[in-house]
Amino acid sequence: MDTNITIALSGNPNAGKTTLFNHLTGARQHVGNYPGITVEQKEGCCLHRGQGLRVVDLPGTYSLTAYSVEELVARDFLVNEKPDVVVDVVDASNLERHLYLGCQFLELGVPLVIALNMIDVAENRGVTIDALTLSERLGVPVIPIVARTGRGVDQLLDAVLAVAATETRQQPAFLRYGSDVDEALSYMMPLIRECNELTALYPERWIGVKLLENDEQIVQKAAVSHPAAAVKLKERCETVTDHLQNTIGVYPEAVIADHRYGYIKSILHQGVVTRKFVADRLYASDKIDKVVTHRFLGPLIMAGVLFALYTFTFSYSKVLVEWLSSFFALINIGVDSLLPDGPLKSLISSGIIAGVGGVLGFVPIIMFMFFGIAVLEDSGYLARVAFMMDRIFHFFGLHGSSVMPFIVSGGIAGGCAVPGVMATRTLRSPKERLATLLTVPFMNCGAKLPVLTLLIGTFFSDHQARYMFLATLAAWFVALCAAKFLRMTVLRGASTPFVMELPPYRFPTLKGLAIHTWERTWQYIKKAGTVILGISILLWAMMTYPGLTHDRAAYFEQQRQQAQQAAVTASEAKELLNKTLQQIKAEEAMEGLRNSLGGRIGIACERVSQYAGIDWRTNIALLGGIAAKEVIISTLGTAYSLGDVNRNNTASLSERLAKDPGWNPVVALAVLVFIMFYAPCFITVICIAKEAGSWKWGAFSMIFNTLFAYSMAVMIYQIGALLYLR
Amino acid sequence: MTKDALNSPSFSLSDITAQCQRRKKGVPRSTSGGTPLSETCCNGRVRVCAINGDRRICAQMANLGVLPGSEIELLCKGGGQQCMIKINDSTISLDALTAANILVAPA
Repeated sequence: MDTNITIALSGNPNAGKTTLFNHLTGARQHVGNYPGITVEQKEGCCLHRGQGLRVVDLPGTYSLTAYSVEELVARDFLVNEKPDVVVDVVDASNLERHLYLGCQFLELGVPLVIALNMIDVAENRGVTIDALTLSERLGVPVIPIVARTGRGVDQLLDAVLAVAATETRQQPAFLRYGSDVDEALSYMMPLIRECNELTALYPERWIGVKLLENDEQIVQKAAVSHPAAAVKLKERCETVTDHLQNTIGVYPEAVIADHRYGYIKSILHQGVVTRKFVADRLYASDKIDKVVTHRFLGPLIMAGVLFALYTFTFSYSKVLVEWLSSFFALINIGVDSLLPDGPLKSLISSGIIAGVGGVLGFVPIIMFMFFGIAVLEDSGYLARVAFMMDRIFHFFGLHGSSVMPFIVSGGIAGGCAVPGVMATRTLRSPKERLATLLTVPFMNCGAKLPVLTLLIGTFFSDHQARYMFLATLAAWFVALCAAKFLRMTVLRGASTPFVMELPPYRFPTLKGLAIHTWERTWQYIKKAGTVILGISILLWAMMTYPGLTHDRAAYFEQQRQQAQQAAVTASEAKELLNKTLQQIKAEEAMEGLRNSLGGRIGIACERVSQYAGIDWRTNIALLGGIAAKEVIISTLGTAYSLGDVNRNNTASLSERLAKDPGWNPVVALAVLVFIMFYAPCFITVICIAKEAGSWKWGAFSMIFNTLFAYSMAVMIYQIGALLYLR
Repeated sequence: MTKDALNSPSFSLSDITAQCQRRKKGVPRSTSGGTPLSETCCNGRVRVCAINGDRRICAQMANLGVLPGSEIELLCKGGGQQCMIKINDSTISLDALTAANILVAPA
């Protein structure tokens, strides 16, 4: 297939760009990141009339001035990659606002086709658009489409092919910006022509406009390419800015924007747009907003919706999780019966299957969670949640959009930090996003719950519900305070102003939901799956090697033989023999663990952990917990000489811990707090590193969280020991 | 100034500033004329008199069409906090600081 035509899909956020992209490319798309930044780059391909098309979905922007990463990415793509055609997707029901970006494409002089999306919504609102006249006035093809259903998309692609086949280059549109700005531009033109490197990329007048708009990238490029001219240009820009500030109290960009809107109005108000109804009436979305963002009703509805999302994710995915778990258990049984005992069997069973199972075990939860989030996002409700939560989160240096990652990670106890970390993609400010990324693992995820239940049930059984509730509150408190701390120290910086367009409420399309869910899930499988397998094998090796010495192995073998012989001579019952053999096996396992690299680390760590009341056996369990929190209980079981302990059946371990002289309520509370807040599991760390774009943030989350958890545990143990144990 | 005049491409921003200041004559007001949007007591239509504060925010507002002279509808009054406005058929949420920097007068 010849894919030599590149189409860039651009437009305002919520214009339906991604819906059109999904319609065009279907499953033939892949998501990556623009180099060095976390803005998603979506690419796909399609075929139209035998011509292959490469489709690039640019980030949603309101302008082409470098105010945000998205705007910079979109502009750089248009200038550097020079796509054959730019398709500006505009919302037909909100034409004036959306044509503002189209107007800037005309000023930049890119080959443009305007897709009048959601023409059906406009028609239902009594808005009629004369696309032909609009096309004549703008000088570019204007095609009415409905991206959700595909109506008009063929005509759009015909127009794209026609524009791509045109030999003549689109000339930049010449707009007037008022006498002050126009005079300044006339003065600046000869100076701009001196900056050859800039004029090779951008139209001259456009450079002048960007300099007046104080576009950092263009100002910097001008200073680098021609410093002498840049100084004069800067002086002239400052003169105009001062003049406009002193006379009408605005910056040049407001005057320029004003004239752009004036230009758009002059085009639209001459019979292009006709309205049947009064233009100012409130639509269904506004009426819904009056209820769902109500000061009192809003939070109640939000709590209900989030609870429903939580229930949907963790209840409905349970069956699939169990199926997957049974599937891996079956494989394990197969391996157990096929392979002889030995390192290979142990590696495949405990290393590879446990590792792959660990990754895939999360997949149903992630799929359901992302499906739920996609419903909220595509319907427009998620933006309202962010709006309502912004006030509280702003106080802690976070953004209103941070609420969803917190909820997903276990804000309502039982979530999972992995989808939580990935849900931070909705945040635009890098520092707020990092602060959210690094603090969501403090939430009580589903894997921590069995451990909390075990310890609370064993040592605080009289107030179990109260302690569980307190644990949830503590997680929120610590996460928000940690975010505040990070924003005041390593991630210091101004909060992003919460200026956000709230999309109208819409019914999500099933295709869109399926694509969103799958692409995020697949990213998780790819990212986590490639690294977790290696780490899982590494941890297995640490807990297995060097193992028992020959002497000790011989000793346990001898013990086993003696027990068998004694059973034969004393004609003891088979059950008693099995019990003895099991005990020997457990002791052997514990000694093997103690002698392993992990065990040695646990013993070495005891020098430090003893101040928090944590012994070497718990240290090994905590070390295993870095692989996955679920491992804590099974490792505690092994370490306390119980052999394999099913995490759903913790009664025996509970009894053992209650009787152990090393454990008491103070130690339990210190361990509980440590487990709640120490290093996140490896899958989460990998996701943090990938999402933050650097492994240093993954390492930071491990060290910062562990140090914080350790100080808390030491404080609790020392104060508790002082008050209750002496 | 009529609404048609406001919509005309030839109207000047200076006319709007002057008009906002005339409207508020005799009433205690801030230096630029108008009341901060975050302090506006009732939902409904208001006219933007001035946008103060950080240049970047002023530019962002301008891109969204929130310019001196433009009419906006206050959908969810802030009471000193964040608020929700409607302009050119779009609903936009504004945080408290941004809303405090937008000075408005009754339309």
